[in-house]
Amino acid sequence: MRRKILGPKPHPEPRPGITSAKVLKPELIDNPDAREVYDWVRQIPQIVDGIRCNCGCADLEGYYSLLTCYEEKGMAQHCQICQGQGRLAYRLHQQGWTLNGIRNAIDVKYGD
Amino acid sequence: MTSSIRTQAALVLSTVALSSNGFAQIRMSEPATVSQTVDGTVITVAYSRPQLRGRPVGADGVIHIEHMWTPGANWATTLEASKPITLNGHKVAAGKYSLWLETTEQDWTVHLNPEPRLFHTLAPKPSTMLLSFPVTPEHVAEPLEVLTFDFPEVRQDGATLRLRWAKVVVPFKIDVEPSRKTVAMTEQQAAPYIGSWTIQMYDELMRKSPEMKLEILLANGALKGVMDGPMPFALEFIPQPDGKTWFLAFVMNGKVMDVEHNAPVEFELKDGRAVRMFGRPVKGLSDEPWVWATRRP
Repeated sequence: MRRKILGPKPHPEPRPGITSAKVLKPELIDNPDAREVYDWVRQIPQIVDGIRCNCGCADLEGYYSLLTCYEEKGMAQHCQICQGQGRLAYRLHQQGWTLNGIRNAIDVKYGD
Repeated sequence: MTSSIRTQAALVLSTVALSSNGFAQIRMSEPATVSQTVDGTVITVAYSRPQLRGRPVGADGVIHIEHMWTPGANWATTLEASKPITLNGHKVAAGKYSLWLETTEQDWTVHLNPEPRLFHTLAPKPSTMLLSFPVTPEHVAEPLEVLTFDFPEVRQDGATLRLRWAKVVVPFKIDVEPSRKTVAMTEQQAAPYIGSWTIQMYDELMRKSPEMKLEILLANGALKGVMDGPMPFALEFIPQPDGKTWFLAFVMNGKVMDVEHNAPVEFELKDGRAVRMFGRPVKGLSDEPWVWATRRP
């Protein structure tokens, strides 16, 4: 676990070899507005796994990272914070941001 | 000869007169002023500094027991705040106050009196005090010869004022009001600025940073910027009353570390959308903007 630069909460380290295999399949997503961000997260599991979710689900059992929110019964389908963090992470990653930079942006936008 | 004597006498008188003027400036307890600015609030202590000169350092020596005294000499020590503060958690309005102490063997009480100009032998009545609160003095092994006020700690939101005299240390926690007024910005107001930018800036040693990616976003009602680069801070754009300029604040660990008041930044808008941002040159330092950014396609 690393200490983030811009805030007090730590972000997780991405697990080596992490994949998006457990991310909810499109046909299982009830909320059509969330399908796009699920597609995006599916493309960058190694980034999303290095980000802490700020919606409160980090306290749930079995939670590891923002990626957990998109897996199986994770709450990203109906949580605007999980979705917003996923969108921001994807957009910045597409622009070539480093994981640290993305973490900092998440902290500023969604941190306490 | 007569002329020579007259000249010598004049010289002697002149020397005496000069010496007399010089000695007239000396005080047993020399006056001093210590001042600290915190986030725009100026806190000043003005006092005369007594010295131990071999006097007993304990209770009822230079620390007076059972009667009110000012931690100083001559005219009462004053505490002045240019804006409202809290002193050990007690609200104090902007103003100048005389500072008094009541000490017993165990308990110390600090008093602030609204009349700043009081002679030290004429302690005011307790009923006239604006504020009274207890403090716990700390004791040190080595006595300090000269009564001293200083600010050993300065925070972003306050400071510690410390009184040291003989073997006693009394810290006062001062908190100031933040100069930055929170104005929640709406998504509509922030929309022209939000998005992806490229930014460069000079640091305090006038070294130009590499080009960095900057993301401007709305967070908690404030326009903020995050950079993906070697600079470990976030930015906050603080709108100014002119509706055109912004102060740039540097944020670390969620706290504002510095606000650049001298060189505000401006955005250039095209069709209602900000396309360029630059910081006005710092007079006397450079003719170039100290920070500049362009919107990325």
